[in-house]
Formats: sequence, structure tokens, C-alpha cells
Amino acid sequence: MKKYFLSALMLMGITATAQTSITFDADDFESISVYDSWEQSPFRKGQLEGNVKVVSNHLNQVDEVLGEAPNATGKMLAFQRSRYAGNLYGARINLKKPFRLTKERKYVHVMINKPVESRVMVIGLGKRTEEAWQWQDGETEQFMAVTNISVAADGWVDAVASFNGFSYEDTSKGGIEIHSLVVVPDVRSAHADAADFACYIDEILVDNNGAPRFSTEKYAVNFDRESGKARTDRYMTSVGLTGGTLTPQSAKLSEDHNYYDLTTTTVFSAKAGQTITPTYGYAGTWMHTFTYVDFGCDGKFSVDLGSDFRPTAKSDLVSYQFLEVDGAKHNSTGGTPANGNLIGQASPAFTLPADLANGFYRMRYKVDWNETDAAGCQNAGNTILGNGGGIVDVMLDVHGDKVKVSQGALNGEVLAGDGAHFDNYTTNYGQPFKIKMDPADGFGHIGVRVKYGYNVSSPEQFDKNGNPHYLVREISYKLFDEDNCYTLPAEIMVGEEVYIEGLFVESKNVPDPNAKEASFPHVSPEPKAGKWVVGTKSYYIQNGGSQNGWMSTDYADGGGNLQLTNATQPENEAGEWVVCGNDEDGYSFYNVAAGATKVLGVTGSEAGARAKLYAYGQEGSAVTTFDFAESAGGYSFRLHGTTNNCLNFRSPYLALWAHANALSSDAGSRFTFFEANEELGKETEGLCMQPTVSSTLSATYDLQGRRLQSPARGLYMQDRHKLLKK
Amino acid sequence: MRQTLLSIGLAAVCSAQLSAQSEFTLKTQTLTDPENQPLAVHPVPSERQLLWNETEFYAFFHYGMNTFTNKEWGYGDEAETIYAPTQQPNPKQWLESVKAAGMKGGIAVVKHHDGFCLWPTETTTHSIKNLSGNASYNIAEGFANAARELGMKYGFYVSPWDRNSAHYGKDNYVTDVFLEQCAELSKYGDDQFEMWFDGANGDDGYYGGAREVRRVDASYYYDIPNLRDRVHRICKNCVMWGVGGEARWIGNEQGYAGETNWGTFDPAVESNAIRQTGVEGGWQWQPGESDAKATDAGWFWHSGESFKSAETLFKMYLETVGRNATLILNCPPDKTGSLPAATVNGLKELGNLINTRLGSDLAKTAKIEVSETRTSGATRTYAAANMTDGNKETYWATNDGTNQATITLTWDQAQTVRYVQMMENIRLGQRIQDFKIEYTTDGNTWKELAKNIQTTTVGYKRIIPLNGNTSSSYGSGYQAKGLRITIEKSISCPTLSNLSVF
Repeated sequence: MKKYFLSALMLMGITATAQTSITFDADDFESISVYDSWEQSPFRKGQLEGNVKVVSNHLNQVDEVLGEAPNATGKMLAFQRSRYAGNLYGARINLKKPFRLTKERKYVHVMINKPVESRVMVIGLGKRTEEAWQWQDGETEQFMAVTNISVAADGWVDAVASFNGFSYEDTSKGGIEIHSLVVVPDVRSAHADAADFACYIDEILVDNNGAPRFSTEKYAVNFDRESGKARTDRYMTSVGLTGGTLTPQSAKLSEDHNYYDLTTTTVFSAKAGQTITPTYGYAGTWMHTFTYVDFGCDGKFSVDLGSDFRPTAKSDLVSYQFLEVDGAKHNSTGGTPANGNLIGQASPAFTLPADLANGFYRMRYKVDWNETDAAGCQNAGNTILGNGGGIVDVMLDVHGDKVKVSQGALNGEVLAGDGAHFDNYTTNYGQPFKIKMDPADGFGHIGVRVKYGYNVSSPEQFDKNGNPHYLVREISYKLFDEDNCYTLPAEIMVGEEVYIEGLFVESKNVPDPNAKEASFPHVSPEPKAGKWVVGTKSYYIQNGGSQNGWMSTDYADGGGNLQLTNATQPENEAGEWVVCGNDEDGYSFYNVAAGATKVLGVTGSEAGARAKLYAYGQEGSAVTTFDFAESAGGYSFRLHGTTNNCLNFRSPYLALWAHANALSSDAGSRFTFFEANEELGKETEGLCMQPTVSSTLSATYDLQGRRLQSPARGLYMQDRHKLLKK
Repeated sequence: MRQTLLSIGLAAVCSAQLSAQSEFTLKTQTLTDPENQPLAVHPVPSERQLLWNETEFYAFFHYGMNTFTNKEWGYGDEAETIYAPTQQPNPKQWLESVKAAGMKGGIAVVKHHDGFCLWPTETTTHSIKNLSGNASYNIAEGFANAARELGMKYGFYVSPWDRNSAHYGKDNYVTDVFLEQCAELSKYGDDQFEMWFDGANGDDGYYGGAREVRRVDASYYYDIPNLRDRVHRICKNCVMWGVGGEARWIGNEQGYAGETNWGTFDPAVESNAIRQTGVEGGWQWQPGESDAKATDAGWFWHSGESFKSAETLFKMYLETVGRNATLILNCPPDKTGSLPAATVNGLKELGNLINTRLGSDLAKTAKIEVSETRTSGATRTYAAANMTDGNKETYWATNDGTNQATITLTWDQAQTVRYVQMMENIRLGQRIQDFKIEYTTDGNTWKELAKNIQTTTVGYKRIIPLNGNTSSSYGSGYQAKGLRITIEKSISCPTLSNLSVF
């Protein structure tokens, strides 16, 4: 069994103590059967028979990520996971030789290959050995060791879980013996599964090493990457670097997660041979820092410590504050820290290899307790998240002295600030750089899109490990001065090349730089002279999902007060609405049937409030502008400037409700928009379509940098952030 | 009769990698269910956990050495003779009093952290064993006998942490002291419903004269798996609470559970906030129990303490029993060994309140219509009437694949309604994720009620005050000719064994 990722303990010859090893290739187990923890299981009551057997290993293919077969053994255990069983149903392996539980945590490793992603459990069945316990039959569930995170599907994974149990100091007095192990491949409820599935189990090992024997996950993390901050009293706040080439170099964290992937937003810079120091911001005490650089660009952070506990040349672990082995305390400089309360102290510095090639390298900052595994400590009771640790990934740019600058555009050219063209142009690394926009006649610009880093001309922004070749930044026209100049900040002038794409558009389509931001997705331009303009769209608006009704001037009482009756979707202009406005001044509703000279207003309070249309200039005290918020797939609209005084269905009227729930969860405050008429306005002299810059620069791009109109599920880039669309 | 066949063609649902060359084939399995019951959503409660949940509301009796030292946590060096009840302790009076409040049982503290045992244990001299007079009364035995006489459930609190014992923190404490004490208590009756294990573990203490700090790692020290095995061998239905792993602490001692509260849990969770809500999809069934005080001082009796108002305790009831948790309400006996008069009177008042507000079920006189009824089995039906028949074994359900439903109750004459109660058939797991309640005065226009409450989970029992206010839930009520409950989201086909309207 090959090992791809080894902890420092292993590499230093401190071998894992293997108490139990089951390969299924040899005669190393007593017998196999099935087991269900559920007392009423049909497998316990004899209604169904389990299906489990040792078979030839047909899953011995080479893994393209690992470069070799993770499991090339001859035999493995096959098990049928039944949808009729409980959620703790698995393959039972009766041991030839029982093993004793200890107070110290042990780890059970199971190689498993199954078609569903879920957590895996190992149950230990056994009994106490003392005379007074002879009545036990060895079927007591002594431990239930479950993996911290879900195990990936469709491929071999080394699932690891920890366990311990009572034991005497003097083991001759007796203790707890484990006679059987039950591997539960899937701890979910199977009630909704359409069918059973087969899973394969192999190479069960019990030892004292918590790190997986191998991993195909790039830059693995031993917890859910999307999880919210585990503790409110202990968490990471920032990361940084001193001694590099730029000053300052730091990234403040949002302090709401446990894992931060800043690889597309944050680049720290240093040169080969430089001695640099990672810096950490942390709210809390009694933790340690561990810093890694993937020098090999192989998708993992390897750990290799010498006999003096310093990182060797092969190690991606470059700096750590504390590691205790057999009672002796160490750090990465060969020092001996007095105690473990080190997080408030500086992390040890490290020196980049002098022959390190220029390029982006993934760099990991980890706060953890006494654990070199870059994915985080998994010991139950001492997990990285339980202790308030965390992980941050950034890119480290090992660089030269100059950066090439190039540009590309239609209908204009991007120049250097002094007017120079970018022909074989270079500038100093990491220095602010001024550019100037030079649009062709009849054209203006709405900003630039900048790619900076390495291989900027490649259509693939990310390499096979998910690291960016280059980063992308979009800069709005609003930031340019009146001479059409803008100074790119130093943090963009990194890598080997900066490529600037000028975004030139017809002059008439250049937005008013003084235009106010309008982030409501269904906004239309304001009517002009009582008429709709080009770009105006109308919508049918439903309230409260399917339960309340639609906004329509056909549903009103004698005084014109709008009612929301439980009616079908309107099919005429009485049910079509246009929303105009902006974030600063608020948004207003217009009705297509009533025309562009009337606006929706609301008077009164709470249930007594009434919404109706008013002619311009005759609104009186009615409020006609609203602020919006997203609300469970729709939007809520509150009176402009109020916190939560929302338009709300107060049967049968469109009225108001001033309550926190009105803003966040109430169905009666939820308005859902359905497209009615895509183009209401006509071209009018002096008027033009107003594409919003935000709609351009908030576009979605795939990982190759291609812009997408309607992205399906997957991983994308938006506003410089990776976005997982589920 | 539903027969479910599993096709061998299932190989298609496995990945291509798994199916092509495997010599392992899935077996066709048939599970005949003549009653057409829904498949369980796992994890599900064990039989003992089901019985435990049915206890719903019960008492805690903190009585012992601390009653006479005016402490909450004794150090462990108190002389046995300090424990001196002025009258013979009267556990029957305790249980009669709490029964008047509607409680179905009680748990007596028979060993707190100070280590003093209220039964004549063989494991230590720090007990009543060598005392005389009122102090020699065997609380554990008397409590068990009284409970059986009154038809109530009972159990014991035994502190794992023992500040008196010289053996605490050492290997032999668990085998020679703690496990033996639990075994001794098991002998007072095989019908115990709960054993309570406090989570406080280790700190300074007397420890047989050592007077030092001793800490233990609770993940292994108490050998819970084998402790459970040993107790269950004698007391089949005794749920091991807290450290015991069969019911979880709700995460606070103020007498409330989360409005959203799942009976499923992940034992690795360390957050008290999550204890209040459980974990949807958690792999273990560990319903929540809320421990709270009925008096305004400590867990043990203290001079000058007051009993909380009936309205305050009713609020606690709604926020625990009414939110899929059980409530263990602490009523400490005083130095006489009986409950004080104020406590007795307060409990009676609480009982009257509960009876008045939740005693007359208007659902029994309503016409009930449901959007769907599960197809009947050979002898079992799933009709709407099952929700009001008073039989916990029958329930209404929809067909497989129908995870949303409406239940409409109507009356010829308008009824004054204040509370809606629902109970899932949790034997098949907890399912309901979201619902709403509406009422109508005229039979046509419906208005949602309790909009400020998270009407999400139901579980064993959910009670919704229709005005959305647990502090003053009674109010004037709503004049309803109809009530409509819409189950908007459910993990699988919803089931309800009870629907009540008060």
C-alpha cells in the first residue's frame, strides 16, 4: 500500500502502531456478515439477508490525479447497502484476534469506494474482559467512529475516524476488547434512495496516525469548506507576509468562515532566496500557526521534517510554531518552545529556495493545535474547528524585477499614462502604473478588464490543481479621471505580464458617470415626458407564492385601492408593472395599463394602509418610493428609508406590515417577478438605452474566463470571486 | 399491500467504474408490508426512547447534603451527620404534588457532586448507611416505591463526578464505585425510565482528604457503552441521559428549546446553540430534555426562595414540551424532607392552568378534511380520524412522494381557538420541516396566524400559541369557523398521530 501523504511522525521513523490490519487478500479475518444498529431492522429480524462477500478487486485502475492505482490489491470486500436497513447498517468483519481499546485515541482507516458522497462510520463491537462482565456476549457497541466530513463518491478514498475507550493503567486487570468491526458506508437515511448500491471496502487499518494514507482531493481540508465560523470566541482575522517585496502585504478575513480561498484575490510577493515571515491575525489564545507553500505544484502540501524537526528541502511545510513529539516540543527553526500558547507571537521565518522558478505558488496559512497535517487536526475532542482554528489559501508570487504590459481592444486602444503604446513594454514589478484610454471616434469606454499573472493569453485561467495562472480585475469607468486616466495599483502589477482589455462602446451607450447605482435586477429606465423609453420592461408581479394573488389594477375596490385576490396570472396590461429608480432614491412602481404618468403610492399604516395609483403631482402624503431586499426567491419592498415597513398582503388589500419578519420571511411581503413585455419603449430623440455598468462588470465567467449568459450548475467567477452555483 | 421489488438492473445506478467488471451482483430483495406503512426516515427512536418521550413533563428533586449546607456544589468533606432531615423525608408527597401539576414522573437526586449517597450503598461510608432516625431513610427505595404506588415514572440522578471519593480520577473509581452504584440503584426497580448523568466533571474536591484538583476525560473515563449495557440488562427501558448518550441536554437551563427542534443529533457537536435545535439529518436519535428550575434560587432548596408564577412555568411548558423536548422541572424539598407549601400550591396552580388551557380538545368536534390520505393496508388505515382518536398507535399519512398536504378543520359554529397541537408518529422518524396555520371567520377568507414563530418542525409534540406569544399565550383567542394547517415541506410523506385544537 503506497502512502502519498505522510505525517512528520511517519517520516521520522516513528512508525504507526498497527493493531489491526485487514487486507482481505490474506487469511486475516475470522468471518464476514452484516450488522444493523437499528433494533427493528429486517436484517435483525430475519426478514432480509445481507449481501456481502470477498471478491477480486476490479477497481485497480490508475488514478489520473495520483498517477498510480490507489488500490492495486488482489481482493476486496463487496457489500450491498440496502434501502430497507437503518442508517447505521454495514459490513461486519469478525476479527481473528480482538484488540484492546485504549484511552489514547486510535484511528481506523478504511479504503472505501462507493457511488454516494456521505460520511462513513466504523462501529466496534466487543465486551469487557473482567470476570464480572462475563455475561456480555461481545455485541455491545463499544464505539461509533464517524468521519468528520463526507467521503467523496466514485473513487477510492481513505476514510479515517477516531475512537477510544476505557482502559486500566495496569492492563493485566482487564479492559475492553473489540471482536468485530462494522463498516457503515453511508450514515444517511436510505428512505428516499431509489435503489440499493454496491460499495467496496479494503485495507482496514487501526493505528495511531490520523492523516489519511492518501488523498486525491486537491489541497484537502478536513472539514466542510463552506461551513460557517465554528466559534464566536476564537477565529482567524487576517493573514499577511513581511520581508517580501511589497509593503504592506496582508488580507483581512470576513471572519465568518473556517476556510478562506483567497487564491483569486490575494497575491503575496517575494523573490527566490528571500527570507519571509508569515503573519497571522487571530482572536483567541493557545493555538499554533502552520504555513505551507506547494513548491512542487502537485496539488498537495507535503510535510518532510528532518531529525532536528526542521523542514527539509522536500517539505511544503515551511514554518510552524509548535509540534510536540514524545513530550519534546519543537518549532520549524529547531527551537524548543516552552509551552503551546504561541499564537500571539511571531511565526518563524523561512527562506525561499534560491533556485525557485518564478511563478504563482499556492500558500496555505493554518491555525491549529499541534498538527502538521495541512488539512487540519482530526482528533475527536481536539479538531481544528473545535479549537477555533482555520485555513486560508492565497497565492505567493515568486517573481523577477519587471512586468510586461500589453493591451487589446476593439474601437480604441489602451495606452500608458504618458501616451506610449504597449509594444514590448515592461515596467517595474509591484509599482503603481498609470494607463490612459484612447477610444476611436464615436466611441467611449466603460472601463477595463485586467488579467495579471502568468500565461495571461491562455484561455484557461486555472491549472489542473485549481490554482490561477492569472487573476482578473475589472475596473469601472467611474474610477477614471477626466483625462481618461487611471493608475493601476501596485498589487495588480505582479506576475510576469499584465494584459489590459479596453471596454470601448459607442458614445451613446456610455453611461452617465453620475448615474446612481440601481442594483434591483428588474429595473427599467425612468419614463420621459410621460412615455416609456427604450429598455423598459414590464413584469407580472405575484405576492406570497401561489397563495395570495397578483398585482393588477383589475383587482381594486371602488376607490382604486389595490387588492391581491387569489386569482390567476393576469394576461393584460392591467397586470403589467414597470419598476424604475435607484438604490439611493428608492424605486417606484408604474402600471402599463394606467400609463407612465401614474405611480403607485401607499398611505395609512399597517393593515389600514392602502396602495393605489396616483397621477404625478397628486400623490399627497402617499409614499411612492420603496427600497427592496431579496426575500426567499422574490423581493420585499419597504417604504423608502424605513427598516422594515413593508408592502404586505393584508387580506384582501396591498397594505403594510412593519415587522422584522415582514422583511425576511413573511410570504405576504414576498413579490415574485415574471417577465411580461421585454420592450415597451421606443427610440426617442435625445434618449438612449442605458446599460448599467454593474450589469456588465457583474457578469458571470467560467473558469476559463469566458463570459456566460445563463450559467448552469458549476463553479464560476463573478465579481472576482469564485461562485458555486448549485 | 405494498411489495417493493429491487431490480438487478440497479447496476445502472452505480457508476460505470463500479458496474463494468465487478463479480459482485446486487441481490433482488423484497420486503412485504401488508400494512403499506411508510419507510422509516432514519435514525428512529428505540422503544425505550419512545417510552421516554411519552413522559413529556416530569420533576427533578434536588435533595441531599446541600439542602443542609445551603450550597449548590458541596466540596465533599461534609460530615455525614450534617444531613439531618427534621422529619422523615416524604417522596410520596413530592410525587403527589408534581402529579397535580400534570407531571408524569420524577427523578430524585440520590448522589450529587459532594458524593453523599441517599441510599445505603456498599461502595462508600459517605452515605445514610450509618445514620439514624430521619436521616437513615432510604430515599432511593422510598422514591421508587412511591412512584409505583402513584402510577408514575421514576429515575435517579447519580453524579459521575464524586468530590468525596478518594478513588475519583483513578482507574478503579468507575468499576469499583460508579458502576457499582448504578447497579445498586438499578435494583430498586427494573421499571426506571431515566438515569441522569450530570455533565460537570472534575475540578477541586476533598477526594478522601487529598484536597486537590482532579480532572477526567469524559470521552472514555466513565465507560458509557458498558455502563449502558449493564443498566439496560436490569432496567430495559431506562434512558441514559446526557453523558449516557440516549437523550441530550437542550443547551440551556432557562426552560426553552429552539422553535425548530430536531430529535436527530450529531454527538460531536459542541455548541449549545445547536443543542437547542438538534441537527436535521443527524445520524443519531438524541431528543432534547430541558432542565429548569421552578424556584428562583438554586437547584437545591434555599431559605427565602420563591416558586415561580404559573404563567411563567406555563411559558416554559410551551417552549419545551411544546417544542419537541421534554421538561424536567426542579422542585427542591426543604429540610423537613417535604416540598414547601408554596411549591405544593404553585404546582397545583400550574396543573389547573395546563388543564384549563390545554384540556378541552376542539378538534374532536371538528369536521376534518385532508388533501390526501395514504392507501390503507390490510388492517391499518391512515384516515384523518386517526389524529383525533386518542390512540397513539394510529396516524394519518399521505402516500409516498407526497410531501406537502393540507388539513382543514371546520365547525358549524365559530370556536374560540388559542393553541394548535400536533404530534408526528416519530416511530417512523421525524419528517415535517415547515408548516403554517391559518384560520377563517367566514369560511372563505383565510389569514395566517403565529407568523412571528418559526413554524418548522413538529416531532414528538409541537404546540403553537396562535397569537405567537408564549409569554401571554392565552389572550382572547380567535373566533374560528375553520383552521387550516398546511404542511409545506417534509423530508418524506408526513405522518401525524395527533392533532388537537384548544
